[in-house]
Amino acid sequence: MIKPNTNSMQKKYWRSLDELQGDPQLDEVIDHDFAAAAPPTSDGVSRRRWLQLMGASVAFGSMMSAGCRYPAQTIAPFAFRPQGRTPGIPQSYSTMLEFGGYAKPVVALSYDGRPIKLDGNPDHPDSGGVSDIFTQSTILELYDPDRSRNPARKGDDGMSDVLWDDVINNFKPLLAGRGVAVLAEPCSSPTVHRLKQVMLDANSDARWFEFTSVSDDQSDAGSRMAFGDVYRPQLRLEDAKVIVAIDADPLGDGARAMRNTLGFTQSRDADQLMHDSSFEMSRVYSVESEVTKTGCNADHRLALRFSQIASFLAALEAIIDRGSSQVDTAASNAEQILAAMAEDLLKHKGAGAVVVGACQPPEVHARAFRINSKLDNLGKTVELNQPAAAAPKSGVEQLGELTEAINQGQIETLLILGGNPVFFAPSDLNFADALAKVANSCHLSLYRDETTLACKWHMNAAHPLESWGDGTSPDGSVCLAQPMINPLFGGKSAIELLAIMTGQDEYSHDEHAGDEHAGDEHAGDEHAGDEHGEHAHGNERDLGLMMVHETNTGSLGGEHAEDAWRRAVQAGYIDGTAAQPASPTLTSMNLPADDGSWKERWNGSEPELIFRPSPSIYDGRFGNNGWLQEMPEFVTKLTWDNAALVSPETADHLQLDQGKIVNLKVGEKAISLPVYILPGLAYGTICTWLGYGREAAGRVAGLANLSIDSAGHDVRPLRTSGNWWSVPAVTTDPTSTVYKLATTQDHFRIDQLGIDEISHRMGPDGALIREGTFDSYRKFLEEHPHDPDHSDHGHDDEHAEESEDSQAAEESGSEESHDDHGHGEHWPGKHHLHFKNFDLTEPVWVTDPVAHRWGMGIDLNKCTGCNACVIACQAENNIPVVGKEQVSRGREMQWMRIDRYFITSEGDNMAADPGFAFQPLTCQQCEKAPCETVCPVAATVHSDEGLNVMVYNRCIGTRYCGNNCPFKVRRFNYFNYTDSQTFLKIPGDDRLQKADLQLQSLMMNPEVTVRSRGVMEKCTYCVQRIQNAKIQAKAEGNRPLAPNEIRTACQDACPAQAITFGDLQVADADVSKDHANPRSYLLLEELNVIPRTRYLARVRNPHPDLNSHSGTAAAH
Amino acid sequence: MWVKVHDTPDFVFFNHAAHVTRGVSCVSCHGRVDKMEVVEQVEPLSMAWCIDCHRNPEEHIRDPALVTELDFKPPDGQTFEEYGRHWAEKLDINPNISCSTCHR
Repeated sequence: MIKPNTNSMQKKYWRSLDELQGDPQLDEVIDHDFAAAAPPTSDGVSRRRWLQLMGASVAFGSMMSAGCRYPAQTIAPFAFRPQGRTPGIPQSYSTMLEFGGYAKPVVALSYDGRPIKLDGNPDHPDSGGVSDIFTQSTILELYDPDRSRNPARKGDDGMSDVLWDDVINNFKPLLAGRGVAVLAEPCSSPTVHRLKQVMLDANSDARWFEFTSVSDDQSDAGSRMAFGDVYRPQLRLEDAKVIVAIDADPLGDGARAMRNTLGFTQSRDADQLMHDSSFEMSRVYSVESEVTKTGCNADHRLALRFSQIASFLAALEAIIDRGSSQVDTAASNAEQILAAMAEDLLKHKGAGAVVVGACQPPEVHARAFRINSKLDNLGKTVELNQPAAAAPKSGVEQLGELTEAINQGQIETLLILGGNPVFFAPSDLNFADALAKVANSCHLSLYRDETTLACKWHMNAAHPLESWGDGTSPDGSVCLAQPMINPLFGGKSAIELLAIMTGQDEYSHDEHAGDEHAGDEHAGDEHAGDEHGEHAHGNERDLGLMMVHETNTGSLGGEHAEDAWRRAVQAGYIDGTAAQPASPTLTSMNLPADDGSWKERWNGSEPELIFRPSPSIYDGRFGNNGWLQEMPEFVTKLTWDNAALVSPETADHLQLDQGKIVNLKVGEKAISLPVYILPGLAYGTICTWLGYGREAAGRVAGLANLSIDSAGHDVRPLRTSGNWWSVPAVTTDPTSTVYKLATTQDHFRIDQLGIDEISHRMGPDGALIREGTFDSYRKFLEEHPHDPDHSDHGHDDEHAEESEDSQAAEESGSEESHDDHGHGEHWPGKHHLHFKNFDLTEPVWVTDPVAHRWGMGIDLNKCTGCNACVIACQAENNIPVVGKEQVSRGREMQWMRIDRYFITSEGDNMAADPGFAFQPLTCQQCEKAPCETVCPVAATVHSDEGLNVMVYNRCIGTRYCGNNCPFKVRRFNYFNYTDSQTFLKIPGDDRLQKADLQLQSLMMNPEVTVRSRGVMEKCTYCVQRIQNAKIQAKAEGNRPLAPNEIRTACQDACPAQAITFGDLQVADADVSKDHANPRSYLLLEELNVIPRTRYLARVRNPHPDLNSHSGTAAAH
Repeated sequence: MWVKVHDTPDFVFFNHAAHVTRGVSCVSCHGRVDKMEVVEQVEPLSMAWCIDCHRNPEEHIRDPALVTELDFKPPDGQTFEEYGRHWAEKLDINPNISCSTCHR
């Protein structure tokens, strides 16, 4: 339903339906800071659950005990110090992680031999040095005490530990025998592929199957239809002017998301206008059945059901074939969006990109290839790469074949390399039952998971950070992995195992068999791979190195191969191996014509159910990662759970209530899920996430044999080979059972009273989120030329400049005040100093000369809400996990949060089709910080460099500061999340031994204090990084700091590069440019607390003929 | 195994490089280790003691090349303070006393 866009239409930003409807209970919650009215401890069962979580996620031993002096500590010094190594000085190594069938190049930061932080590899041409939540949280996985520590064999009373020798001696002859199968995950490692071939060549009766839960299979099948071979699209979004996402999430999916996000934000960087007045910002359309990051950041978003997508794309192709398109303002909204999209694509041939999501069927992918070909986009914005190895059949088909072969008794020996096929498999295959029939089955895995329990044998895998490896990144370049630490539990990687099984290790294995004791405490001292790949022959650890080296010498070549190898290991990839884009010829395809079904509204009978990988824990493989479980999912802000996501209208129709369990049935099979009402989903669609409801994951995600409840609900019964990504119709059976969902969407928000007061002081424009259109920004810049390279950063000058701007804006205001979006007199970022009802006093700047004035800029136009910063902050600052119970009380500890706002216009159908906005929030480092004035013990004070610092050892926990913080960015330790005693005291629970606690303490960043119970904590702009950079500069001859030398953890991680940090006194610093940007504004400026963080307003680029409140539009 | 003699609490972050490259000698905090049969702590290593020096560092500043000379005496009958003032000016020594200097 399209509404006339009038001046009276006021945008409204809200966080939840409860808020929109003015639920009085909600205000009661925020009236009590941190929702503290609830009793401090919970009931026995929940408390126990929390303690279990503690043990597995964040426990680290406190070294202190009672007494006036600290107990004597011993130090083990280096007898011979390794070259270039100073104790206490961290070192960085390039390595890689495998994710989604591709290599992710990363850099690991290692303190005294223990890796504590991962970031993207900035040298890799396709990485940009950015990362995502999965990269950031891998460190927690490495030190997870739930990891399997020994090989094991299933006996009558469950799994019992065996020696590596036992399992190898048993399986080596079996794998050379008859009826052999290997089940692996699709993998990009050239070494694995080489060893696979060695194995298959040696045993003609061996078969290799590949299966995983989330893959490129549908796209590959579409590519076979379109080109006769497998090509995978690599997007060059930085060159795109029109991006059309068809049920796709290029900003959120798999290994390519980071690269895509970089390109996406570059194509939408409206500030390029300052250098190039002809710059055109890209326009993004998203047509989708779920709510994705791409959809939330699109200029126009259309919600369609999964089954309507194919016909919509057919309709798009029909218009493109016609060659011209025009928006008919009398047509339905979907038709208007289609027409606008086609018009834009036709106008920007060669600079458009039609992207299809991995879940859509092959025909849709094939059609998108054809559309991109017709629009001349192939080879430009959509490059085609041929993957190193693509299986001829889809994973589900292969797993079906394997199951069939097992059931026919053809398989005697089955080796499962990684993955968790029992948990991932389509339910109709009954794979677990089949697996039980295999005489000799063995699972190589990090955890003893669902698949392990269904196997006869188990081998504990080495973590990717503990082993040599290689892989291919999406651009086709070969990346190398070097171990950061000896295997903590003596595991082996898939490469080592294959090498042993194929007899590649003859001379090393025999000598060292059985010599595989876990290197727990001393592993840190022996930095394997320290000097970029020493060959120490005879050491089993080097078997992986030998294999990887042998595979890749070919591409290193020449007489200087050894030097080239060392350089490649140091760089983390082999230079010059990136694939050349292919330009295959399109075959002629008969694809069904548009049947018009995309125009039809849901008939209201049985809704569609769609499965999606969880934005938090993916397909469940990261389930036991407390950081990811507790991370508020990007749009629902749910933690620790999946749910049946439905739009308010669908919920209304199906009589579903928020937080109540609904049973979903297909035939005899049923699942139960709590209902979560998410505005923006397609009418008639229920969306749910995979990966929850695990029963053999670990203490965090659920462990049935220790009676530890699963996090979330299992949805696998309805996921079958035929309904792999969607179920066309499910029956819904609402129950009255209430289930507690822990969502943070209403935490730390401003209540109606506050909003009213802001609008009283600031006028109607006093918004927390500010945004405007590209056209109005262009107009603004034409009227107020801004040179980003010569901005003045003295404060008084800055203010003068702003006043001029705003005066000018006011002068021109009369003519612009009828602007489309109701913020006519000025660009949205600039409307401070327009206070209607009061004057701000002049800021009292520090008059003494100071060495630095730290500040931060956050560009809302770039932020996609992906959460990478939140997890990076958690990893950097030793932030604990508190568990679902505590999150639901508003006691989550993450220092950063990303506020998600729904945007509707007044007069819109309530919440039917909102827009979305994201705003990362962390301590604003106010110049006049309200928290400081109320602290009775001066535990939070101002540094002369402008930081609002926290002195943890002074804090007595009054929580006055948190109460007085207008941004609600302070966090309080309600429990001793760090004390080993807490959970060692659980009656009958001695599972977490002291050694486990020490294991977890290896993960801690030694530069940041580990906080205790009763202490307030918060962001300090990564003060440890600031101090260390300053010390280093002083030690290096008292040199000045480079303009952008210091980077905060969130800034490092951000794939959109939305965050800048630095010294505001340095004009060349990126942060100074951000602060001088005409889009920049302060949050709650009317309070005159003078934050050091400035936000840059969003720029949207809606199609001029389409009406939309926020750059998004309604579906029907 | 070595036993840690000079130990600060876990919430204190001390950096040696920041001191020895800026002309603070070992002897200022550790005493005459060269004369000790068994190493012992001679200074309190308390916050007040740290801050005293951060406020008035002159007495403890010298030519950074001489920081390891534990028996160093200022030349020409100068006091440590007179000698140190010269080097503090030369090295532009302005020790920070805000909390985040040592607590993070």
